Amino acid sequence: MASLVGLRGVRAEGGGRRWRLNRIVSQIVAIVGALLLWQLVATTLTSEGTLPTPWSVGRALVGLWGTAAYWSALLTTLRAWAIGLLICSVVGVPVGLALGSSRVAMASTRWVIDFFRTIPTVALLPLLLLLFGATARMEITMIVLAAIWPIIIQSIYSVSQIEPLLKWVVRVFRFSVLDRARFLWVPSIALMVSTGLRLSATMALLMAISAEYIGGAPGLGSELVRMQTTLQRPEVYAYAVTAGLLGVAINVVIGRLQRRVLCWHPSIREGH
Amino acid sequence: MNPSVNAGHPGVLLNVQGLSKKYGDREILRELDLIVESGEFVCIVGPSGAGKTTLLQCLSGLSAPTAGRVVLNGREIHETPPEMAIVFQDYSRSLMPWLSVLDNVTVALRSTKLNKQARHERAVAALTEVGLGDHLALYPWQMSGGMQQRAAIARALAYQPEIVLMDEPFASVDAQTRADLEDLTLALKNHLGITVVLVTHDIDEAVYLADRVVVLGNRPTQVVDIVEVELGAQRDQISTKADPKFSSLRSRVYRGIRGEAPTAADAVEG
Ligand SMILES: Nc1ncnc2c1ncn2[C@@H]1O[C@H](COP(=O)(O)OP(=O)(O)OP(=O)(O)O)[C@@H](O)[C@H]1O
Ligand SMILES: [Mg+2]
Repeated sequence: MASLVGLRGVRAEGGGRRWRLNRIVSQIVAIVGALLLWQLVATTLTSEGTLPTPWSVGRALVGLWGTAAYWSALLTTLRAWAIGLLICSVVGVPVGLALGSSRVAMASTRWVIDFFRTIPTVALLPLLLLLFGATARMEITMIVLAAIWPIIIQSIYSVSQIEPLLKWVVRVFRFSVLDRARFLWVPSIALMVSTGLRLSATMALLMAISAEYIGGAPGLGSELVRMQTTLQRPEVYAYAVTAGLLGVAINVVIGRLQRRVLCWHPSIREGH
Repeated sequence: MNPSVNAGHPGVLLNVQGLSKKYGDREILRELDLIVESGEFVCIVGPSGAGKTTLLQCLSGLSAPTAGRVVLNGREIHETPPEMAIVFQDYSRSLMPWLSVLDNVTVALRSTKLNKQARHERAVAALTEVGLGDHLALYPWQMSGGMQQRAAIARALAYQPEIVLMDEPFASVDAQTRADLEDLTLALKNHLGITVVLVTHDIDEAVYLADRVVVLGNRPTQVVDIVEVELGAQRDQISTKADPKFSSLRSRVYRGIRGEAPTAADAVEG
């Protein structure tokens, strides 16, 4: 207990900057550690060339940066991801808010939602391939089917985040409906909805790559397959690393935005 | 703006007739009658759980009474009318944490016909009046409890209502802040001529602030006594509370809450 209080004290007085620096250093240490482990496994445990070393993958990645195929694959994947995520938000947020506003709707749809969100979307791939072929449309459909659930669920629960007393305040001061939306509803639900968006964004990327890798839609995943068939192992891993970096970048960007816009929120203003 | 004034008597501003409220089978308020005149400071005292908050909700149209009616300026209330503002008990939840204290006040003025500049000026003036003029840019969560409650009071004042309802506004601040806020409220009321209806469970606070104390009994709650407080407009935490009239009023209210009959001594007019 005492140590907990102490920790808080240090963080409050001290220097948020020092704490942030510590975090960056420890993250770098973790990354270097992971690379070393990779190097170790690649050079000792596996036979020559099965798992390329980080060094050779890095070189392959830099090499790929010089090819048009790499950039066009990256853009294709990003475009499918963005369209899929947009559809998820445009459909998922209103549906979630509508369900969350009504107790009856929430209770009656709970099992249905739990059912659909636990179906592994990859299992639907043959059906989608049959319907759309190995196209971006198939990929986007798969993204939406998998990634819409976090947004819907977070939106449902975001409704309960609206402070009841503030609902009275806006009635007392006779806010118009538009003002209620702007000054009460949007800020109240923003944290939960944006967290849903963040979860969905990661899920959408995962689905995009899977649809390309397994389903053959154009993009990073299918380029990876092409490298596999031509036995260019470092390039295979270079594409995998690209997907990983993309995931990290997406999370960092959304997290930053969230923290900037919601700096007033109790869960953000105390932590970092 | 002012209600009709006839023959030098202040007019009736708020008229509560036969107000009853039930939650399901539980009867909370039973046939309350209450008149508040323009410019009065009325305190409603009752034990905890008596239904004071419920009463204020009915007075402000936030909650519909089961029977009876609430009339403000001759019109029956169904929603909070534009000439009424409220200061809630729980200051930490009644301000919007995503807005600075200045924005919390200006945003409450958007339903008035003022333009942006006028809203800003009025909000700054109200915040200055409650002593927050140097803290306009702070967020509510960067302020102490007393400051937050001042901000909530400023929000109500800037709205320039004829009547302010206050629900135990000082119940969750420390004793010193409480005394300061009581005096601030009295000063503002005297200086702006607003009508105030303040609900509290604190007898001293009620007698200190009020022109009239309405005493509520136990549930189902009825008005058991109405006490005129003739301590003058200028009050002081020390001398007013030391006044013998103050302590006799206080014991009369106390006995009312306990359900005892007023004694002959209480009946003596001050
Ligand atoms: N929405 C509601 N539904 C059902 N019962 C309610 C509701 N609101 C209040 N009550 C009940 O009405 C009674 C009076 O509550 P109220 O909050 O009005 O009392 P109060 O006098 O303000 O008490 P306190 O001094 O503790 O604030 C309580 O017994 C409470 O349980
Ligand atoms: Mg109450």
